[in-house]
Amino acid sequence: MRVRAAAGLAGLLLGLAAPAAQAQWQFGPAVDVAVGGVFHHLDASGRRALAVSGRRLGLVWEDNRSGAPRCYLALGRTDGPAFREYPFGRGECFEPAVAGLGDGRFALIWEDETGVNAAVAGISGIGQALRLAPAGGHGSLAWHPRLGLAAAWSATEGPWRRVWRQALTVEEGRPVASGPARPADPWPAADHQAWPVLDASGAGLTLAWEDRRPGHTVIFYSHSGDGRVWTLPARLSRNPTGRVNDQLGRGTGAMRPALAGFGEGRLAAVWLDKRDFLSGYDVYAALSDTGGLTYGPDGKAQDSFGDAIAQWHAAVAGNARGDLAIAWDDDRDGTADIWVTRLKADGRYADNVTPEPASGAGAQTDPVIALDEQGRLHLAWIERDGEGQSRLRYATGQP
Amino acid sequence: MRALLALILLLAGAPAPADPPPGYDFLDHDAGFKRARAEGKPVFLYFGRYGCAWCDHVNRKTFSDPDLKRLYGDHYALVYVDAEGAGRIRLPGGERITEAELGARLGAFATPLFVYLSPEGRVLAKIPGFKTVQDFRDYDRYVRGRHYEKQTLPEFLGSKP
Repeated sequence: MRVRAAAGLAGLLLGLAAPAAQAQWQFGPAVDVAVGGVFHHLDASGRRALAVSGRRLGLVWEDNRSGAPRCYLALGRTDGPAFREYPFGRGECFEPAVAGLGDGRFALIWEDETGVNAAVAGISGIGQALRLAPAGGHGSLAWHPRLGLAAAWSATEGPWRRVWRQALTVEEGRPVASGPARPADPWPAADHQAWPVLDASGAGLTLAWEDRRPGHTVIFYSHSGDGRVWTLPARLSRNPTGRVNDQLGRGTGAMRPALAGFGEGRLAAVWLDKRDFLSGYDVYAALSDTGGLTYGPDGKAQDSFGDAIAQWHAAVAGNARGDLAIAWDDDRDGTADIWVTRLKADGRYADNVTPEPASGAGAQTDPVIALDEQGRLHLAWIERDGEGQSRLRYATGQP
Repeated sequence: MRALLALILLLAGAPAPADPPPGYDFLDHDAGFKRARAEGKPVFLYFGRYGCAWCDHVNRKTFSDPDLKRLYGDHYALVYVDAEGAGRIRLPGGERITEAELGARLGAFATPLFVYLSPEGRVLAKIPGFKTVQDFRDYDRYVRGRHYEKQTLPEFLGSKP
């Protein structure tokens, strides 16, 4: 694992007294998950394309090996890099996302030619799909041990995309709708909402999404402690709204929220934020000690070596023992590499590191991550050569 | 009452229109490249962001020029891409990605970003930020004069052609 030289020196000096629990992950070699030489995409809403369920690992993606975009699930074990692959979806398929059900099974959501669909998958295969909406995309799922399964997606209503949520139960290996789908915001749509992400904490379920109603893109959220009653949407990102010199523009951008529950009832929200508009998007995060109901101040999760360049594809993962990891890609070292930070015990973010198998020549982008209860960081990403075609890669980081 | 409040909110909150400069024939990515191939024109891709102040500035100060509008309208396939957009586009190589992902591929660290491309998708020049009418005339001469075959854009501009 490479660390920026200066940061590494500082870390070395400071690290002499650091507890072992603050060590970074040591990554093993990368493996190819899927056939190469095609275009792979890990673009689940909230970057929820990798999940842990018991001792199993589920990874979903889309690639065009058949000549058109199709969705695939790879199931493996958290202690080994071998995967078994399952195709799913009808016709062209986009933005698959996955959530662990805690018992070795996974819930899937995706967009295909029939609309937005969900299904339950395990080593015996993928069960019968439930159509959530006849059209739409950006699906996300979360499973809560007490509240069950929840789904969210965006779909067009009139001129706008709008975020919808749906309570689900899992019965006989398939998702079943529990009541009607409802909009995340009770007010009539007035601009686009998109890219919802759901996650669970001990306190309940949280839904975050992009919202353009302020005239620019910001992050909103809503929370439910019982899975039925949701708080009125509130703003999560503090990227400034308003015009600047000579009445120009409407505000800076924030996009692609990601959520992760961790520890005892904590939740992290991460997104790309352009409030520093001259250097591209930065990785911002806000933490909730109330399980997603309220949040502390937001701030950069990346270190200052990444300040002058753009960050992309921010992902976050947590586990019950309290680990929290954030990953993204940027080209601070000359080529696009995966970068990772973690939340330290003092509440600050660690120096950024790039896992050895996900750095170097070529472009390593689009990370998706999951943390298991042993503290292992599971990482999948896209590697592109100069010809533009890609490989889907996976590696495990040992704590 | 609730419906009335909702209507008021809807009208009060009606956003400004999307951000390409008004009066130009900007197309979405795929339609623009289709036009470029059909008409044998280079692509002028305007990479903007919803609510972007500098996009607003360049629209008002530069793209309001009628001669510039005529120059670019006549000689380019005009494409507008939303930097945070969810819309799907098809790259000339066949790959399907979102508008926002195109920003990551182009290294779009600021908006507006102006990209000149061949109809086949080759990047000929990439220029970020506010630019003047004269700047865009210079870029036009660089692109349509095919100077990119022998010079970088800074070399071309530095030679005071």
